[in-house]
Amino acid sequence: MQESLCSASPQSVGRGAPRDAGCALPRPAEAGRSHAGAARERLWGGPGAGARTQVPPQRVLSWSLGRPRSRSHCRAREMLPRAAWSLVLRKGGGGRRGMHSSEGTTRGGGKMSPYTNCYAQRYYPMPEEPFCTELNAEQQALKEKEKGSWTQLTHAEKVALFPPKPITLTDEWKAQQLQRMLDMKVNPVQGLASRWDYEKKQWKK
Amino acid sequence: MAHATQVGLQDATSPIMEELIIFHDHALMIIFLICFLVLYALFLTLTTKLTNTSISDAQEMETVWTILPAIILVLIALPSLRILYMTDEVNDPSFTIKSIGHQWYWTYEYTDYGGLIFNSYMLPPLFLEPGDLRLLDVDNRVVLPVEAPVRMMITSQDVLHSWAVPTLGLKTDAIPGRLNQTTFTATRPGVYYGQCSEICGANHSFMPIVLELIPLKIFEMGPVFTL
Repeated sequence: MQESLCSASPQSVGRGAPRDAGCALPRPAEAGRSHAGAARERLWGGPGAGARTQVPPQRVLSWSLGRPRSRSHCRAREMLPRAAWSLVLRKGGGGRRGMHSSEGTTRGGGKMSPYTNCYAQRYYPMPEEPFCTELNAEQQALKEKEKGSWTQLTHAEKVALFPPKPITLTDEWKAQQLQRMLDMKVNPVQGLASRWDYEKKQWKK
Repeated sequence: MAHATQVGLQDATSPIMEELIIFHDHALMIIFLICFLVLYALFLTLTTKLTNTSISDAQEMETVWTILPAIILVLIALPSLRILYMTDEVNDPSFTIKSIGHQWYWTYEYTDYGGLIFNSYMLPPLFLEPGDLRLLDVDNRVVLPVEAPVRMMITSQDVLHSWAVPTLGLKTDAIPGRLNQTTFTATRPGVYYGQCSEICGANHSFMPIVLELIPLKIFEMGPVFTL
């Protein structure tokens, strides 16, 4: 089955293709997961957080990923959290704003794949860039054909050109999501969780 | 949060939202009654075999269809104003959090007891763990205590945003240069989701809000849990 191609649409990047998509996208080094305990730890910081009673007049450096911050990081200005984040990731320098490339400022420069680009900017999770930039000859030919009249495309070709569905729409993920929603007791009064019998672990009759 | 095909309101997590749900049902019932009445009158008008082309001077009918809607409007306005003033009640919040909107993430500041400031970014799809909610989950949630009045001060760094959590009945605009205040008291622990509700650029849909409400005793314990 022909691999799905990706068109340059804002949504296409976010459509998580199967994790083993045609282009080898780098897996993130660490994912900022938030579970209750981890969130509490980040809220209050590790041991000794109670000793920090004095708030410096300027803003404290923002916390990301629950990393303990040393005193030297406490001199923070507006841009510092963003720069620190990219330092943490060790990618891309200062992000799009800090890049100076000969290609101008439209695309942020460089041959970095969109996912490494958007790692440097957490606030732009779905950039308007193609999902895959490395296409084989057959896919390239199809992209050229797409530039012509769309009535000449076969049904299979149209399906291939369409952005891939997000991974979260697979049955397995939807089942895990439903289980998580039931564990969270979402809408327990009259909604979803109210229709689930927690003792018998089945839907109420 | 809402499940996939949900049409109605989410269950209430605060007393104000409970009142809003009751009011919503009340107003919706009145709307359905009026719509049904109008459709019935229209149906009768279109299917009648009677013809009378010289009706005039129907003072009684006109009086009725002026007074009756006025009464219905008063019946809608009184509960509405009651809830409006209820939301403005001063309930002596025990905790204040600042929420600052940026393009395209939120910053939360807990500066009451010590200083804690962090950013809350949406998890990109590649970062999701199995079972996570796409476009809703964030990396750092806003951790808050249950059954304690909380004051949120909301503002923005750049453009208009809006901090909304439907299950708590909250939606407050984040306006640059202005500090808006909203208070709430949550009644149930859990994780509650919301999304930015004022168009703010390319990634307006990708800056959600996630509250994690935990029991007050655990919240007060503070730095006990470690990763």
